[in-house]
Amino acid sequence: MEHISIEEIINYITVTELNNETSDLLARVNGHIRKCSACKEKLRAFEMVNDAFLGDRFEIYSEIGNETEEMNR
Amino acid sequence: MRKNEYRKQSEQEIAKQEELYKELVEDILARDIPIYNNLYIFVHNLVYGKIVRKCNTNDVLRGGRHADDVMQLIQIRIVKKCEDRFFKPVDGKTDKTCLEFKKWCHAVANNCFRSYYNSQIGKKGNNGEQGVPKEGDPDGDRPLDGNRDISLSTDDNYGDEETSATDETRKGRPKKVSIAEEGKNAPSVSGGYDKIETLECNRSKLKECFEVVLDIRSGPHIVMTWLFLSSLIINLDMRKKDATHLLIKTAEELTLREMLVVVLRMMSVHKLIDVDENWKEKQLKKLETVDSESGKMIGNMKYSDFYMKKGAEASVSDWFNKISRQITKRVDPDWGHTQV
Repeated sequence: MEHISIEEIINYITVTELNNETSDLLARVNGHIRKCSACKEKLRAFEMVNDAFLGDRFEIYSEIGNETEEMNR
Repeated sequence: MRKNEYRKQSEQEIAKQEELYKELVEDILARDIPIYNNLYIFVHNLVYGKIVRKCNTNDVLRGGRHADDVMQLIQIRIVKKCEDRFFKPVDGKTDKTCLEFKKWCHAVANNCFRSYYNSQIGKKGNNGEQGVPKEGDPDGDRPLDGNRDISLSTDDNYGDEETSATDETRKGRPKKVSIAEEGKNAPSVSGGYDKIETLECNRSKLKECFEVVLDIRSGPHIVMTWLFLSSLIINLDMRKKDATHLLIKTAEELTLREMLVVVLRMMSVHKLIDVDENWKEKQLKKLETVDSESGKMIGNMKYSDFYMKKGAEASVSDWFNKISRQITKRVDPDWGHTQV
């Protein structure tokens, strides 16, 4: 069984718009965490940090992208 | 007569909804990767009218596509939470009724509307006084920004829509103290003790601790562990043990570079200290260095790569204590020890 990646977890948490792509992601992740308690726990932990600290503005991946660009300059 | 007709119609509607509910549950439970199409339709039919009405009678949200935007948030929230809350199968079926599900959907809709409303106030620069759901009103909500009272979960408590998860999770625990209140008691982050959050210190003392940590020349994973953990303890009113557990679950798969971003975000929330660009640059430089053992760039290594043989929890605890000892030495050699 292939686990969900950190990228998928973060994308899942930060979904703000429903389209085919995000709808598939929601279904895929929900389907996976039904069977995989490890991924479920990880997802819940991320959600908790997200809810607590960053609210709707949790755009970690875009920020990491910016940091990486800065580092590569 | 009219009343009876209305009642009959309503019963028909209820029967139809129950049928649709049965179908959507089957759709969700029958497949490994669930199909939510019927769920989307059901939720839309159930709450869209109400959201449109709420938007149209709200000074900030009248006009535009606000109702559709709120609807998307509602659908997303429901899809994310519905499996845990409603569709845990018992013998291939859910034991939750259509009525329970509808109540929950309405609670989610109300909460999403409030969150959306608050986010729009921020965007419009509205001071929130016109047509605003105030605290204590049925339509009130917590603020999204600044020194907000941070909730541990955004679960929607159907049947008790105004009970925040924070209240629930804090039962029997010390009352959260806002670190924004100068001079008031606040959780301490010095020392490596299990009852660390019961120690008392004020905001300036905490600020001093953070300043010391930013000046400490330990490995980035050690410094970030302390900053991450302390931010959890301060902002979430967590016990050190719980914060450690959450840190491990959240961060072990992150690279140090990713972790730095998260830590910076956390610190920007509690605002104890302004992290200057100089410190960020220093950290990024440290992350660019190559680890002598693995030959990898430190910033690209996972946090869990740094765990010692004794395991994740012991490693995190050791790193936290290491920094805390240095703080104690530098800030106040007596502070911390006398209060434990």
